[in-house]
Amino acid sequence: MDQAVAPPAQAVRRMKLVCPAGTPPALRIAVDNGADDVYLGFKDETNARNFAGLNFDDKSLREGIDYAHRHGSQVLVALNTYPQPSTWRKWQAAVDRAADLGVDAIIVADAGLLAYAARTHPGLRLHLSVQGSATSHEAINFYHERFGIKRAVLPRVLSVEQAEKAISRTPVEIEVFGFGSLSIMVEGRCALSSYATGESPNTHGGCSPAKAIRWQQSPRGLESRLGGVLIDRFGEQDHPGYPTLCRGRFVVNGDTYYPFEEPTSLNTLELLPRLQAMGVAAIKIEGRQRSPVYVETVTRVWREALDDCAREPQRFRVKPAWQEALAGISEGHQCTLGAYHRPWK
Amino acid sequence: MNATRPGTMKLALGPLLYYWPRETVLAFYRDCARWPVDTVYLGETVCSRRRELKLADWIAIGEDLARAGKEVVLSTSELIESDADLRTMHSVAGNGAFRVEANDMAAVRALAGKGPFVAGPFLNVYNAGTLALLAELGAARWVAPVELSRDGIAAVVADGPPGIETEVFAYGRLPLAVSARCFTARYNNLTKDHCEFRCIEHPDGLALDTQDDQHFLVLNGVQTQSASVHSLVAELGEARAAGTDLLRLSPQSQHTGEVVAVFREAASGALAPHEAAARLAPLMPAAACDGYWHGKPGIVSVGASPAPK
Amino acid sequence: MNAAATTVRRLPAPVRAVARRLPRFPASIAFATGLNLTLRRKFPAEVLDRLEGHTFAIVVEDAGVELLFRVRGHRFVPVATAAEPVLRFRAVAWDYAALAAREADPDTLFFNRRLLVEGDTEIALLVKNTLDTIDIPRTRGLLKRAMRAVGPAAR
Repeated sequence: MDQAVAPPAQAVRRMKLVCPAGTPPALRIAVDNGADDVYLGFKDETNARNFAGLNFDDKSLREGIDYAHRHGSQVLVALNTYPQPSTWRKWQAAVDRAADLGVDAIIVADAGLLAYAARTHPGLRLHLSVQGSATSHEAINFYHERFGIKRAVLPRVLSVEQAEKAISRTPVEIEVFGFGSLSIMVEGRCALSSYATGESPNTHGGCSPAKAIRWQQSPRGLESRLGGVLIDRFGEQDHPGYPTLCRGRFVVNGDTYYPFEEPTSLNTLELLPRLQAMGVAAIKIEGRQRSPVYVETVTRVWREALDDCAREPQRFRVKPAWQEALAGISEGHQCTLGAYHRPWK
Repeated sequence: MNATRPGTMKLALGPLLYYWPRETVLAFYRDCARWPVDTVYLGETVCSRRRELKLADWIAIGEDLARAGKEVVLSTSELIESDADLRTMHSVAGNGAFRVEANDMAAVRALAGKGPFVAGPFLNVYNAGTLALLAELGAARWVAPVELSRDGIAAVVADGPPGIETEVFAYGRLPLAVSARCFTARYNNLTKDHCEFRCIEHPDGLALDTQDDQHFLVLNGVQTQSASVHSLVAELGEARAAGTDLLRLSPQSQHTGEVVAVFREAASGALAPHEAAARLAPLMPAAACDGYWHGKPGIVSVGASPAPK
Repeated sequence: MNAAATTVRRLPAPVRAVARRLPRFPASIAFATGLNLTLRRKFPAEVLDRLEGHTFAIVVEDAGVELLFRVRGHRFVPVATAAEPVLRFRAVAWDYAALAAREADPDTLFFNRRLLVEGDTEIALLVKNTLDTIDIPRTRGLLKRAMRAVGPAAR
């Protein structure tokens, strides 16, 4: 086991707000509303939100970086899928493009690609993606020792206590998820999508590829299917969710229910003072596939909340208006603390 | 890909993924000593709460199997969350007796530079760069991720470091995902911390069907598996040609010894592919699939079903 | 700012009555013309390639209107009838306006079943993401002002 690394001096660091951008307008809106970091991806399967019409080419990325830097924000490029031998050069080229365009960091999952980036672009700041499945400080320190990663995104599986221990034993900045679609499975360790469709986040940069999704009105309600597999049926009063397998309603021993998770969003606003005190470096907002309206709402609310928390953590209260605004854009209209709260498990 | 003779592939019995009563486990591995497998992976890889057997018990089983001529490998957990999980991982890594399969980068770090280890299927080795890194740290064998296709495996082998052995998941319900949440406990309206160890009631997992009655998945505590049984028994020539050295067979509650025997005969070329598939069918707890091997959805069955009569 | 509040705003009854009596095809002509004026040049060529030859239906539920158009030669062309459009959207006029003005989030309307989408999901996502990429500040400003003006009447 490692020696505990002394936590950074008493002074509480201000947590950074890391916001998603699937499109140039979303990037500008995130910057305008106070995002410290904006993360995005190229228009291909090198990132885990590889959806039609989404993401950035070199020109829009160059403009985006320029806009962000002029307004004091940073741009992080996600290259967080796993290249295979036939596509290795494309990922390698994506690392080079990101470095040449002057991005502030790249977010990488694959160990081979991290090795390439560290070797070829020693000045390029490396973040370990949540898809890298580093669930302990020892795994995080492995990536630190080998590739000099500066920040790691924690998979959404640790309780607050476990996250706190991890932070106290690594020199790497820790970023945690604050809001958005909740992953039920350990990121980087889920092949449910490829089992039904042939494409998974690891292999193709997306869960539930759109071409495999079918929405059908049937006599028994609105049906969602993925690769032909019936995920759910919605009656007139039901709210449909994203057609992902881990939000599906299935049958176990005659009981029809959500065996994995109800359609719901992660929301950790109420944990902010705790996360700040334990030394979390950055809070990540999920949703590169969402609209500029979503990005505007989450960035505005979380900016205000993080500022309140940094100013007076003891007096921090979650404002009802924040919760209302976030509930309005959440999947399933419910929010959860997820694994941060132990009984969720 | 040329279909060559299956040739000299070894058989490996993967770690037991389910939770069985202690006596059942002990009896299973007593039988295993007589099966024609070359390598046996031991240890609890799915859930740290399962405690029918302790590490000392696994080591004792390993010693018996080693005396029976098997190569024994101890596997680390596929998900490390707590300090206790880390301590367990370090005990396995430093067991001193047997080679270790690392299933997480914390385990790789613990094993790096300390002699040969196995890079397990959960390390996400999708390319030769990652494999070269692991080989540099001491990996003598790698197990391909279940969703990597025949062509993907062949390409990693072709570009990868020389001398490293390649193992492929060749039989069993596919371990598709792992979570912090226990789905068997959730089914029983329990939390993981108070799960009452209900997964012991489901020796081959708890079946999950779609609302239109398709057998789809199996819940195994924090792990989710395919309901269909992945089988490469009819593709062994291709497996060999792709560079496979070992075929991993995953334990099931019934007929595991017979499954091993069929693979042994098929791997030696004594049994034709369609005959092997036909012999295997009645030994399987569910229908066969092999889509991943062919670069298709894992649930699909391309060549795994017995030839039509 | 989220216009996707809990209540559905419908066109006032007199407007609904007039709208229902309007001939269909001219409405589609007007709509397609509007698309060509505001959006066509903003759509990337590769997106128009992907949409080429497909027919789209936009059902304005409270107006009882179905607007039909096809993409042909990188232009939006009105059509009179379509058996199987590649996509059919259904929502009330207010929600369409809110989407166009970036006052509402499409996923939220979808979760609330206020925006129904039938057909090819991949094309739906492509259209949604492309629209998210496009900046039409003047049109949006006009829409927002119009919505404020008629807002009190819509319920």
